[in-house]
Formats: sequence, C-alpha cells, structure tokens
Amino acid sequence: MRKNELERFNYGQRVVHWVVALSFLLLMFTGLAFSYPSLTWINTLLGGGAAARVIHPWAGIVFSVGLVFMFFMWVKSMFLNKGDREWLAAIKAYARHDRERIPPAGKYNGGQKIFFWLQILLGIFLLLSGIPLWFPEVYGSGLLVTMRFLHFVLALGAGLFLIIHVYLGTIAYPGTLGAMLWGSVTRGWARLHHPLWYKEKAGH
Amino acid sequence: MNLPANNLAIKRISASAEPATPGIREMPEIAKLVDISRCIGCKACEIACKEWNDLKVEPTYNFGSYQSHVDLSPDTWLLMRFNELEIDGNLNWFITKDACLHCEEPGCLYACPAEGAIVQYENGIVDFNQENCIGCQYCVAGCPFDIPRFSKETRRVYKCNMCIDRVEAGLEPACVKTCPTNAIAYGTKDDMLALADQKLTILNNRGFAKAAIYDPEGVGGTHMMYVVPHGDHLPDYGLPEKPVAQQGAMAALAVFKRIGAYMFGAGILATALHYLAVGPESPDSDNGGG
Amino acid sequence: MTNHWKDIKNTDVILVMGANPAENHPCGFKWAIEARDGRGAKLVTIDPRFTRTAAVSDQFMQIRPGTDIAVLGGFVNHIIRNGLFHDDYVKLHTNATFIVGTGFGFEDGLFSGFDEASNQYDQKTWEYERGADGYVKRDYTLSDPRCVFQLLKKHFSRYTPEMVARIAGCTEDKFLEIAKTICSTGTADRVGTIMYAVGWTMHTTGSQNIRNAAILQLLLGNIGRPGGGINAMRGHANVQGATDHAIVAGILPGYLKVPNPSQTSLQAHLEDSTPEPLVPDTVNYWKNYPKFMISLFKAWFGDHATAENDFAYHYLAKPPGDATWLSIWDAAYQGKLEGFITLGFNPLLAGPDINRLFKAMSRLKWMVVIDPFMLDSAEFWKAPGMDPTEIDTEVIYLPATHWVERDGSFTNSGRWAQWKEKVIDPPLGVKSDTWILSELFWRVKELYEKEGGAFSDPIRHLTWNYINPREPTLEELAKEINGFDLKSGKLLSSFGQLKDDGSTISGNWLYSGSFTEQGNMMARHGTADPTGMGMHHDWAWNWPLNRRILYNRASADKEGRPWDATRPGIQWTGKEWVGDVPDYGKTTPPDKAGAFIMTEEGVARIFNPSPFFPMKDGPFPEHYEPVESPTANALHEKVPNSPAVHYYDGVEETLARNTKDYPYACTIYRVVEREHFVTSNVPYLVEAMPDFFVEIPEELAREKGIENGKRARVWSKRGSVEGVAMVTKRIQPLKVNGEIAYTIGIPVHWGFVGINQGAMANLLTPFIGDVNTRCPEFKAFLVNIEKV
Repeated sequence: MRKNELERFNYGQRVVHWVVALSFLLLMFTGLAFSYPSLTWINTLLGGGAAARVIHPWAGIVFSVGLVFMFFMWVKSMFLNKGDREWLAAIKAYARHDRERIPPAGKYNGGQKIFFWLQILLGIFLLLSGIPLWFPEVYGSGLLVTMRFLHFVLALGAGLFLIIHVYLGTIAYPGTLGAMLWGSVTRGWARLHHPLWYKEKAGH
Repeated sequence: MNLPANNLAIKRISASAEPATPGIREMPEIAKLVDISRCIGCKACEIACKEWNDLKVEPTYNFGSYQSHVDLSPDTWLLMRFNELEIDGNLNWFITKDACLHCEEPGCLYACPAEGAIVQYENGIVDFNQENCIGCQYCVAGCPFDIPRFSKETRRVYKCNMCIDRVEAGLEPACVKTCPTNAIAYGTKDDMLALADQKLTILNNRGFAKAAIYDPEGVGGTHMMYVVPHGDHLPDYGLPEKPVAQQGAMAALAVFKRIGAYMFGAGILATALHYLAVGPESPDSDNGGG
Repeated sequence: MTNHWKDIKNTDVILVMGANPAENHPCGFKWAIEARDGRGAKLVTIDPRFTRTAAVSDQFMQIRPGTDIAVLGGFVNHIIRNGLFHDDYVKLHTNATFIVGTGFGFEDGLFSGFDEASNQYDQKTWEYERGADGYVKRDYTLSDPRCVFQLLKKHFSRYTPEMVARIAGCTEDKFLEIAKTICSTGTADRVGTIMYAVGWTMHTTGSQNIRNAAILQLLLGNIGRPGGGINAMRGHANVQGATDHAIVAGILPGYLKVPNPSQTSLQAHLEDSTPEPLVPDTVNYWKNYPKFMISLFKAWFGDHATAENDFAYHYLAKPPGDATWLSIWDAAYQGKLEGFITLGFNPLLAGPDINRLFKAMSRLKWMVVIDPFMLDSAEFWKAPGMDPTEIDTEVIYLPATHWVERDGSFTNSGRWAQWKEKVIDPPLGVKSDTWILSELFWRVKELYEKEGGAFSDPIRHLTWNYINPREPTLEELAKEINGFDLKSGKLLSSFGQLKDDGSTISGNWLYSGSFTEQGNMMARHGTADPTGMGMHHDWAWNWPLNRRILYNRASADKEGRPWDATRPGIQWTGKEWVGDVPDYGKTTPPDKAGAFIMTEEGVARIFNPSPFFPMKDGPFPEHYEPVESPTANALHEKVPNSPAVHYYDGVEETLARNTKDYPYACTIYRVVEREHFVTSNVPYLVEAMPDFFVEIPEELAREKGIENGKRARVWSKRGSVEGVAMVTKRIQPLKVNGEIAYTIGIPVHWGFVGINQGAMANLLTPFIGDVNTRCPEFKAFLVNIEKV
C-alpha cells in the first residue's frame, strides 16, 4: 500500500485474486488450444497437448479452490442494495462516462457485484461440466458430447467477461490495477469511482 | 493379395481445419469382410492381433462365458464376443468379432481435438497416432461402436489400426491372415461388397431370409463390414442398428466454436472501440480530495 | 481318414459326430465350411453339447453322452426301412451278399459265442458259410435270411425312431429330421462324409461306434468316393504318424502284429497273420504280410536277421497280455512295473482317474520324463495333496527339443506326411529326442558289452548305421523307414518291391515311397491339382503310395465308371485307371478284383467275422450304455454295458453303479484356445481361455442354486474338481427313458504345473476302456454337482 492511498484489497485478497486469475488464464489458453487447432502452438509452449490435458483440469482445481476463497472473502460485500439497482439502471451513463448521471457506488458498484455472482456461477458449472471431461472413463462417453458443449459455452462466457474485466481494470480506468497489485488506490480514484466508499473511508 | 504397397495417402486429419492435401495417386479403398456365418469363434484372430501388434498379455478370468475378456482394452484391440440366443425355438451362438470398423465418416476423428492424433487414410484405415494424442478421450465418446480404449498408464487411446504396417507393405491384416475358416476376407471395398452379395445369396439359400450386410450408412459405410445371418438381430451381435458418427453434434460444435471465436474477437473489438470513443476515465487530480 | 482334409469340400452332407472340429481341428474344418458354402452341402452336428461346430452347422441334435450307436443304428434302420441304400454299391462293394453260418445269433444283448466266465466272445460262431469251392457263399438278391444284409436289417430293426429318442434323449421328430439329411446320400449323384474324433473312440463301445459309422457309409455307398469316407480327425499334427509307427498297443510299425506266446516260430506268426482270400479274384493285400514283417526285421537287426534265425523273430517279446495304456497303468498300480519312460506326453493328466494314477506313479521305482516343458507328470510327487516324503519314485526330467526346433515329418489326419523345417534353435544345452534315445541305446549297449546280461542280443544286435550314431538325423531315419534294396543299395519307391527273402529292408512298409531315389517325397510343395478334386498329388506324400483316397476303386461302378462323373475318384479308360493313384493295379480291369484290397473278402465288411482284424465285442455294433450310465439300457435291461469290457482289479469299487449319489452324465472335452496341457505355458493362449470351468444346463443350475460366473464343485466316485460355473443354454435337459437327464461338461486342459493352473478333469473319469482298444471311457461317466 502506498502512502496516502486508501487500502482497497488486503494481501490475502490480492493473492487469491491472482491465483484465480493466473489459473483462469492457463485454463483459457489451454482450452483455446484444445478448441482451435490453429492455437495448438499454445499447448506446445506448455509442454505439448498431453501435458496440457493434464495441466488443464488441475488448473481447474486451483481455479475452483481460489474461487471458494474468493466467495467467502467477498460474499458479504456482494449483495445488491437499492443504490446498486439504481446504479445498474444507469449503466448506459456509466458506459458513456457520464458522471453526472451515475448514482454513487459503494466499495463495489452493481456491475461488479453482478460480475461476482456470474463468475461464481460460471466457476461452479465449469467445474461440474469439467469433471466428466476429466474422467470420461469413469463417467462414460455418453455424457461427454453434452458436457463438451456446455463446457465450451460456459468458457466462452467466462472469456468474454474476462475481456471486460481486464479492460475496465486497466486502461479504461487508470489507477485501478494498483488496487490488485499493491492494494491501494488514490483518493481521487476512490472519490470518482466509488464515492460512497470514499466517504466511508475518508470519514474516519 | 493384389493390393499395392505404400498406399497411405492421407484423407483426413483430426482437429485439422483444412483437409489434408490429397494424394495424386489413385488408391483403392480397402475393406475387411467378416462372414459371421463362417466364424467358429476360435479367437485365432484375437491372438494374431495381439502377437502382430505386440500387445501385452492381460490377466483375464472366466466370467461364465467362452469370451476371453469382459471388454476391449488398450491391450486388446480385437475381442470375440459370445452370446447365446434362442430364435424361433432354435439355439444360436452368436460370435462376433469386435474391433474397429474403420468408418468412412469416423466419429472418433471428428471428435478428436488433437491435431494429427487420428488420421484417416485414403484406403479407409483410421489410425491413432499416440504421439499426438492428448488423452482427452473425446474419440471414445465420438465412436458409435464403443471401440477406442484409454490407457490409464500411458494416458493415450488405442484401437485396431488394421495392421497398417502390414497393409502398407501390401499384406493383409494379421486377423485375416490367420483366420482358419476364411471367415474374414480382405480386398478392395468394391470387391468385398461384391463378395458380400455372394455370401448373402449363400445365406439366403441356406434359409437365412433376414441375412444382411452390415455397412452402416450413418457412418458413411465401414472398412470392416459384416455378413450377418440374422439381420433382424443386429443388437444381439453387438452391432448398433443405426450408428452415426455424431457428425451433426461435431459440426454444431464447430459452428459454436466459430461463433465463439467471433464473439471473443468482437469483445476485444468492442472494448477497443469503447476506449476510442470515450477514452480512459481518470480522477481530475491524483491526490484530489483528502 | 479314408479321405483327406481338402476332399471334404467335395461332399453333399457332412455328419460331425463324436467330434468338435471347429474347436479341435479349426484349420481342417475350413473344408467343411467350404462344402457348406461352396456346394450347398448340409452340415449336421450331433453332440451332447451345442458346440462351436454346432454354431455354424445347418442342423444340430443334442444327445446324451454314450448313445452314438443308438443314433447311428437308428440311421441304419431308417435307411433299410425306407430303401435309401445305394443298392449297386452295396452289392458290388460290401459283404451284404455274404452268407453267414448258422451258428450266428443275437439275443438279449449278447451275440452268439459269449463265454460268461471269461467275458469274451468265441468268434467262431460268426463265420461265413463256405461253398464247395472253399469260397464264401453269396446271395446277390440280398434275400437269404442269413445273408449279411438280412442279418443287418434284423439286428437294427430294433432301432426305431422311438427307441433312438428314448435312449439318446432327442425327440423322434428331431431324429427324423436329421435322418432325412444324413440318409439322403444313398444315390450315385450324392455323397456324404463323416467327421469324427475321440468323441467316438473314448467309450467302452468306441470301436463299435466307428464300425457303425462304416456300416452307415457303406450302405449309402460313400466309402472310397471323393467327398465321402469316414474321417478320423487326429488330435494333433502328428498323431497319425505316431499311430502308423506303432504308438498304439498291439501293433508294430505299419500295423503289423505283435507276436503272441503261442506263435513260437516266425512261420507260426506269419501263418496266423496272413489271411487267405475268401472269394476268387481278389487282391487280399495282406497276403504280403511276410514281406513287410521280414523287411522290418531286416531294418531292425540287419545282418543279424537271417533265414536261419527266423530273421531274428525271437528277439521280439511275445507278451501274453496287451500293452495298452490302461494295462501299463494297471501294472504300475499293482506294483508290477519298475519304471517307465514318457516322451512327448503328459500321461498323468491325460489318463483316467488321476488319483489312481498318482498311486500308480508312486509305486514306480523310477520314471523318465522327456519333454520340452516341465510337466505335471514329472512333478506328480509335489502335486497338491501329495506327500513327497512318502514317495520313493526317482523322477528324471530331460528337457528335449520342441518340434519347432527340429526338422522332420508330420503325418496329418489325411495320411499326408509333410516334411517341415526347423524354425528356431533350441535353448542352450537342450538335446533332441533322437540324441537322448541314441545315448540311451549306446549306454545300455555298452553296459551289456562290459558287464554281460541275460538276453542282450536284441540290444547288441540292433542295427544303428548312421553318420553320427550318437544322434541320427531325421532324414536318415526317414530313409530307413522308407526302405532299401540291400543288393542295389537303392531306396525303394513302393512297398511292392519288398521281399520276404531278407533282401529288402523297410522300417515301415506303409511309408515305402516316401523317400526315394528321387528325393524326399514328403518335402514336395507342388500345388497343381490336375484332377480338379483337390488331391494335389505333388504336395508332400501320403501313404499308401501317395493315394489320396483309400478304397478309391469303390468310387466307380462295376465297369469302372465313376458313380458321379462330376466327382471322379478313379475311372477306367479301358486300358488303365486314371485320377487318384488307384487302389488297384493300374491296369487291373474293373472286374478282376474287389475294391477293398485289404480285406480277404475283397469287399468292405458290414458284418465283421474276420479272425485277422477281429472285433472282440461282436460282428455288428450294438448299443450298450456307458459303464457309468444314468439310466437303464432300453434295448436289453439285463445286459446294460458292453459284456466284453475288461475290469481291472480293484476298479469295480471305483465305479458309480447307483444314480442316486451320482445322477448326472458328464463328458470331458477340449477347447480351441488350448492344446491339451502344453498350452498352459503359452501366455496368449492362457489369456484367451484363462480358467477351468464347468458347463451346466440352466435348469440344473437353477435347481442347485448355481450362478453363472460363480463357482461349482463336481465330483465322481473317484475325485472332485472345482471351477467357474458356466451356466448355459447350450446343454439342454433331455428326456431319457421317460425321465429328465442332465449332462455336465468340463474341459481337460488344466493341471498344477505351468503359468496357469486349474482343476484336473481326469480326477473324475473312470478307469475303464474300450473292449477292443482299451481307450478310456472319458466321454461318459457319472457325477454330482453343488454350488460352492
């Protein structure tokens, strides 16, 4: 945490986030290589297709465990309140950076909360659909085709969310990344993006 | 055997978007034809398969049948299945050679996500290349005949390769070579279809009115075909009545993937456009407020 | 085989009975399939089980074990009743027309001439009636009540379909359906064949089973014809060769006879063994017996066999008893045998009543086992349940080469002697069996020469002229078997060249012509088939004289025209016979001699009174129950079993005579994945058929609470085995004599040595054998069963 900045994420939260993030990236890249022959080279970088086939489900386990931690660390803050619903109603303004019309957000805005819940759900279903794919010899081949579809669609969803998440967390809102790197944000950033949280923090 | 050696032009490669460059040589499609009415279930083919392919001996046990193994395995690519069945009061002992049928539309190959792990040759042989196999077992699900078997030891999948090393050298597969009653014929697919017709006539004359040729359309025909005395009892022979290569599912998945790729690209594009449109949003001053 | 493997493709009807060729002769069986698919032949299987052969047959009938004569007799009756026999053939080529003397009769299960005290027949009452010329009287109208045909008709008239069904357990309808097919070949344009194996021989009535098959085929006119014959399928690649070279008791090489104690001179032996013709104009080929015998003596004893010393006839033992397998075992069991040498054989597992054999072996002083693999026989003293401290037998095991490690010849079931090459080298230090036997000979001879000893001449005077006398090559032996002319030193090309004056030698007259001045005829690989009948005379060589079909003269009618012009065996052109190598002088006209040159009648024997080749249990076959039978003999209750069966001392107590404790018939057999016991050393074959099992009819299994794949115990009065229960539809309950009868089946391939072990089937089998051959009754005995 930098001096004069407000702590946004503590050390544990940051570790968990990056464990989840890196395992997800591994999952995504190996998954992409499994799905698109033109991306087979990604697996080659990771030690070959067979190695990737071993890495992918284990990365999935790491991802899932991280997600469990994540869930318990953040769940209390993630219930939608009235303000959040107003914020969500004004999502277009948010997209346009029309600050005047964006209802003030707390530590997490409505979008982040929705993102949290969707991410948890996606994680659960990716895990559930992934297990039969991991052990087809146990679950039989009948499930496999269905699960392949499901797993792919879920992964696609997760991938799309990742784009938004990375975009918003980096270039769209400069200053955000620091929250996940060293744990703190500038007061200006807090006042701009999460005014209610800023008030709460600054009030002390 | 009048089939040429070096007949391995590639037709399809798993997980390969483009079809393999077709060979310029004109090569006949080959096929095995199993005449179930001539098969005595001696398992010579089963053992010849193991010997030629240097497959390991498995610890088997008698489970109340003449059948040697409960099921196919990575070390047993050919299994004679035995089934006692009464039809119209007459006892029958169905004995079926269970091994890869080498589909013209190979469900395993379509399902395989590992480039080059499954290859189909112009002559019809569908072969697994374990060095490219990633052990995902999608082929197991993709196969309508339940043939490929996964080895937990090597984490690869195995099945009959129709003795491709013999075929390449212009020889017949080991099971064909060893069959004492000539129940397994081998030659070009056209010849085998013609032979199958003759065999059908023989069976009809012997009173098997429902005799049939098993060369299922759902997988585009196979390169191991059967002549079945009781064509109305296919499942009792362990032969699915309407096998499909799950081509539809695999094609749908391919479409999904393409859409997915577009969506992924679109997502990135959208964020870029968004950035260009509204740019970054920063606080007025880094230390504003306080 | 009268015919040969490939010839089976020429047939119209195949009866598989007492055999399971799909299982035990799969390579030869292809020709049955070829006939079925290629000619539309009907393939019929009759067996106590629905076998793998049955699985590809057109018709199948299940019978109770040991009722073959009832069924075959039923066919004979069916043929005669319905006039389905091949009339011209029967009159021309069989003794149906012969008149039998007034002494012959059959009553209540006994033929005339039975002596209750000795359990033996006096065959004198079965003799033909002779005319004034000394030849047998004949009636070509077949109407004389004492002609063979009428006697046959009367004898088998009792074998009605109803009776067959009652005995064998089939239905009358099924029997008639099968009979319709089997008996359909009694015409010139149709021919049928019979494939049989040890399912017929391994009965107390084994020889008569085969006699009955011969009668059936003779009535239908099927012997000697392409696509016909009765074809014994031998157990492995060279059983026929071993038999030809006298592995069977009671014969010398080439089916010459072992002298008996009453034959005190060569003259006496030759007189007893050389038949006189019973009809004019007949070949009576056994008249040459002295030539064969004296040439054999010359081969064995060379210069020590002279006219003055009866050609060393007196070197031969003249045993009073027989040297059958059972008798050897019995001598050991009674403590009358000091030791034995076993070579290429696992006698312990292959013999009946193994618990008895354990005792017999334990009473030997020594035993030598020569084999490529360690055998159960060599390790009997440490078998489960044996106490090595109580066994004094010294066992010597000598590892010998396997046949893939040597060249040599195999004689297949079709009498084709085929030369093979060595494939691989033997393991270091392993010696060939010829080396072992030569060393044995030399060392015994050297001991005799050093120390002397009683009656050592047969050993000291044995001819042993080989390039390396310590290990003769198999080529040298093959040449010696073929024979030489001693004057010219040339190899003989036919047994027609053998002489009875000591100027020729031949180790086995039947094989004369197999290795001639032209070279090793057995090694020929010509595939040409000029006859178009699959005879392939340039492929290898077969006895006799490369004749592919025995009695082929019978394939033609009186004038020498083939019965069926599309399937000629041989035919007379007016000057000579063409086709197969004729069973006849090449230029002997058709009317000059009978087709069956080996009989003194010149025709085939439907009724067998011959003192030279006697049937000890009757001139006709008769249905007798197995010694252990689940039911009464429906034909003659008072004589249930074959009356001439020999019971060894102490065996009666081991036989189950009551069906209360042992209610079920049991039969033993082999499976295709295994070959006897040797394949317990072959991993892939063990994998293909891993465990000893018991085949049980579903109904019986239900009754006993036995589940498929679980375990069951089967026991006879002699022993007990346990294995995987295979509950199957393939053995159905039968209705026998009005009651339900079950059959249980077990395979023989397991023992206690090798990479794969299991229960020994022969713990159960009875120590009792065929009347004529003493071949054990492995195929039908009584057991009980329970779930484990």
